[in-house]
Amino acid sequence: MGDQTDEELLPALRRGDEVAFTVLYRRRQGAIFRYVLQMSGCRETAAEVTQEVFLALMRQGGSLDSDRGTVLSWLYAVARRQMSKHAAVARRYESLPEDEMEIAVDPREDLEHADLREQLRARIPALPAVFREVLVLCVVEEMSYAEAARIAEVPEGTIRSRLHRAKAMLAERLAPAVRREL
Amino acid sequence: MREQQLREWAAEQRLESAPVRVELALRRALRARRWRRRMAWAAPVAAAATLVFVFWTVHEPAAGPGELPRVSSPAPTLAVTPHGLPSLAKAMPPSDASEKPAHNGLASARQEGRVPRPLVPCLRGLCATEGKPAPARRARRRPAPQPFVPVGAWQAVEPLERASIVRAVVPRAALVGYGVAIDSGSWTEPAQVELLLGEDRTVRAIRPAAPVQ
Repeated sequence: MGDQTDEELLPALRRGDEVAFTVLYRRRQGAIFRYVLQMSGCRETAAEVTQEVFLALMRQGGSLDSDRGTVLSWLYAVARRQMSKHAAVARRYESLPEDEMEIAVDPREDLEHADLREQLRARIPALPAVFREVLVLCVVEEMSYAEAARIAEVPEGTIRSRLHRAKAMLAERLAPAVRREL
Repeated sequence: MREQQLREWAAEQRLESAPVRVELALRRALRARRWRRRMAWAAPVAAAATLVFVFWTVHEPAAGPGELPRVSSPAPTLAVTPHGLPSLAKAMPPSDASEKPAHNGLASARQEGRVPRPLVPCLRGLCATEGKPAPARRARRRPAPQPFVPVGAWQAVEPLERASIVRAVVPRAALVGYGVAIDSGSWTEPAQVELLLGEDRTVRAIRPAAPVQ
């Protein structure tokens, strides 16, 4: 059952097959969890939303139409909806306007975390949500632009431009640290 | 360099996964859901059984002076011969003894081989006191009713699922036409009779009512 595609597992899922569900869950939970974690910044919320997403799969998996999209894109879509319901997430991780983003990172922190990777880890959550999303989908999950565009529900060109913009913003934010390192 | 850092960050992120408790909770939910699905038939069946019971309880008529209560099962089988209803009177003997089932005559007749096998399937519910003794109070009040006399071409009727007995007052002269014996009284006096009604509320048989004490 492990070598079957998500879509091939759907009939077994309709019958309430626990093995099929577990295979599908273990295959896809990481992506959903990471996506929600990056978008919300909260591990607890990520776990909650992941659980809700797979509960939705359990309930509505029988009516999924594989012609209309992949199971993974459906899972992402449910995760996006579930995240929007989490008002607490929105409060906690409201993106800052770009002019305030410099202030969000304490300059002293730069000195403490000289390592660029640490700097990157600190700066990514401060990016606006749309840029974080594209980073997760295209860089972490290594999706193609087309796949990311389907999940983010935006044109492919928008994904390209967002990814470019996200990298540029990171480079900009990291520049002082890079300079220090050099 | 930044691309390299980004890749390292991505590789680090890929190690993240949902806590094990999420999987355990989901599997528990799946099992519960599967169990509920398996037991989905139980609730409708229980509801239907309750409805049937309530319907049966509500619609079972109380034993009145002129109407006998219906019984559920087993229904008596009444023999109807091609020659009419010779066994009707035997099938509906007076239920003066409270311990005897009302169609005891039919049963005994069948045992003796006097009653042929039924051509019409059965007459259900005709004998109301089948299986349960008549109340002693009623036995005292109704000493000895006469047997029923069939009215019309009763041999052509379909089996009765429900029958009821009602009392009516008719002219004595009319009873003669039905073949009911009149022992005393004036021809012009009205007589109280018991009518056996079928499901369609048509009279199937008639007998003089026993005088109420």
